[in-house]
Amino acid sequence: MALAAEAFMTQLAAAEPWPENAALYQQLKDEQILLSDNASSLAVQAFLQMCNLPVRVVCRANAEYMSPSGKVPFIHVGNQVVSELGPIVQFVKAKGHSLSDGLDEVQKAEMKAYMELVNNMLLTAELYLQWCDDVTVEEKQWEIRRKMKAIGWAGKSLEQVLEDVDQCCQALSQRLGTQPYFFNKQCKGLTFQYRRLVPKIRPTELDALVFGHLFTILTTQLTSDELSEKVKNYSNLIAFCRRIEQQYFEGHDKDSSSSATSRSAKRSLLR
Amino acid sequence: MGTVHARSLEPLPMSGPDFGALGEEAELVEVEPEAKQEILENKDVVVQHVHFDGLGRTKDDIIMYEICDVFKAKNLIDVMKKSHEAREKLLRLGIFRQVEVLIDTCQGDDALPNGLDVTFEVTELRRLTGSYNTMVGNNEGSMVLGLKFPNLFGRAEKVTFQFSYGTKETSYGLSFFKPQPGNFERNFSVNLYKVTGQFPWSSLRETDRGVSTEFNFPIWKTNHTLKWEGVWRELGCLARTASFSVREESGHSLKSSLSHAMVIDSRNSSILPRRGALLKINQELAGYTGGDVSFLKEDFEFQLNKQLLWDSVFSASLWGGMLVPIGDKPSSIADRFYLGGPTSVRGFSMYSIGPQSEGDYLGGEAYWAGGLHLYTPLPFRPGRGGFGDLFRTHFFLNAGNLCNLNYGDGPRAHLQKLAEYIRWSYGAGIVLRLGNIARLELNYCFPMGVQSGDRICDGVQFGAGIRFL
Repeated sequence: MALAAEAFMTQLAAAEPWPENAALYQQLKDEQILLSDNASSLAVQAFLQMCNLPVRVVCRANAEYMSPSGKVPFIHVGNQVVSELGPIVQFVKAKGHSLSDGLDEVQKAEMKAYMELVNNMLLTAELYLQWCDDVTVEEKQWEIRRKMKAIGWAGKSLEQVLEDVDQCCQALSQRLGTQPYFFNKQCKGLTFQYRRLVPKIRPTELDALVFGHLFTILTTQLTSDELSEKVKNYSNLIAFCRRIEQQYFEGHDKDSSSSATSRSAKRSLLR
Repeated sequence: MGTVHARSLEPLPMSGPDFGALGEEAELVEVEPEAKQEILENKDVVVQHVHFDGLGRTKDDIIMYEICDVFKAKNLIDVMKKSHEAREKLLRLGIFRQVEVLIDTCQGDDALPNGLDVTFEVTELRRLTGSYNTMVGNNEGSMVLGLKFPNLFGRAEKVTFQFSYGTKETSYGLSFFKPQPGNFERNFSVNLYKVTGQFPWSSLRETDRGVSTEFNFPIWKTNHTLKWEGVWRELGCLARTASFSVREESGHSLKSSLSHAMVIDSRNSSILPRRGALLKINQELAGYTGGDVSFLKEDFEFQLNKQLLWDSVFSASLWGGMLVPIGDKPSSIADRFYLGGPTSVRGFSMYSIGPQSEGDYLGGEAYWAGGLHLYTPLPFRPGRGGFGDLFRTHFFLNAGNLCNLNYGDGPRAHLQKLAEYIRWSYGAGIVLRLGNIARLELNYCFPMGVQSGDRICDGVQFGAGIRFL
């Protein structure tokens, strides 16, 4: 039944072009938003920017309850509401925009694997660190604890978590190497770079996801810097984040005051 | 001289909170004095003693208040009348299962020649009474368990607990009620509850967890209620296809409000009255005692009934209300008014009039609704004197409007807004009275003045409820 409903939704989605007034809903900024939610939201924004689809960011206190799946962020496009990066990628694909079309089956599987890695490791590490953080407000502590229990990470120690993060970053760093993006499939068109016309290389949703998480980790101020220190060990990851920020976010700083980069408290990374 | 027994008279209508169904028309039955006691009737008597048999945990002082009038009786008829009234008052307390009155001449050393003894024989209710029902609603079933502790501490306090477990939702409520000794109409109660509701007309699901305290007191002919209520409300979408306007209202909010209600009711019955009028005015102020929502809400209900020739009754009613949000936040969908349906403007679907978005009705901040009815007995009066008396035929004309007002404009603009796009309907049907509690209607309706967005139910419409326009 759910499959049929999804197929029907996809058909509906395909029917209309991307509207001008698409909106992305997330929680209010400052202390209200969890680290992991912030990262997810940034990942979706990066993805939509990469697809060249305009969206405005709306902050609401009840964004979590508005979402059909209970998770933020979600997008309101036409009269459809889709939440979380996975379904949003599917939805956008149904409208004819895709970043991973050029990949073959093996690469797609690999991409999915890396996305799972990021979701399992980085996301939960963000939750854990925020739980340990003294600055976190009481209400958020209770919510984080509930999420942690659901995943089963309450028993882990800080060292274990940091070790996991390190391994994850190592894997990502190795996969990235010296390339600009994780999957450098060449696509149609040429672009002018380094005074030459070179084939265009586009990022994929994996790049958006990794950017979202790493950027949030690097720029949000927690009581301890251990998490961001782990990530800073890998210079190619930092360069990757900087590159994506410059390419996809800096041009839009003027447009919206709620753009990704102006949100964080500490920005020691990129200056 | 022999014994006089007061015959158990028809109960007089009383409106205590725990008094069960009464006959619609109660008449005082006059006791015919027999020839032997004719002498007593005109003779002055003095009530010397009042005895109580059967008191257990009930404290004496509340009893004293209820029966003190008996001592003031001057002649026999007066004694019987006052004893009867005292019996009614005792039953109204809700602590006795049965009250019997016995009037006898005084015996003993200090007996006066015209002295009387009045004895009340009472049976107290058990300490704990329970009830169990099953209920079937819209595509769901539930079982309802009720527990009551009447007369908890001896002064007619009552604790009630009700628990409803259903296929879709669970609700419960605990309430403590205490009347003022000697003044049953003045009472206060504290309630704790959790209630879930599903509103398919708005694709909305609401869970309320709340606590409230209320004071009831009469002033002259009116009944007032002062209440404070604190509710934690959780709103959610009922279906994935809910409109975005309803989705935006999802989440938690806290409402803390003070309200006052005044009721003047001179009708002879609340279901299908024959005469009398009702006026109910209610105001609620939220936000000044805490909470997230801040508004001032006023609503009133007026009904007038007049008996006409040939056992028919003419009834007119008018309802209205206004919700003014205080501060910047817009009003919440859970606070707004709704209009339409078999208990409101007939001919329209349940709460399906007014502002809507993608088929979900959002309610409005101001409304008015009026109705004119003519109730007649069934044609040819089948089943007269028995079953047929529960039915009435019914001709109606209903009208109303629901909208959002722009509070910046003046009252003239508001009236104008409420007067444009009036929805109205007329029709006829049959009404069935269920005891003194509820009413069933089956009507044939012609809705008119339908605006785009309203959902109508023209033709046959069935309604069941307590409060009808």
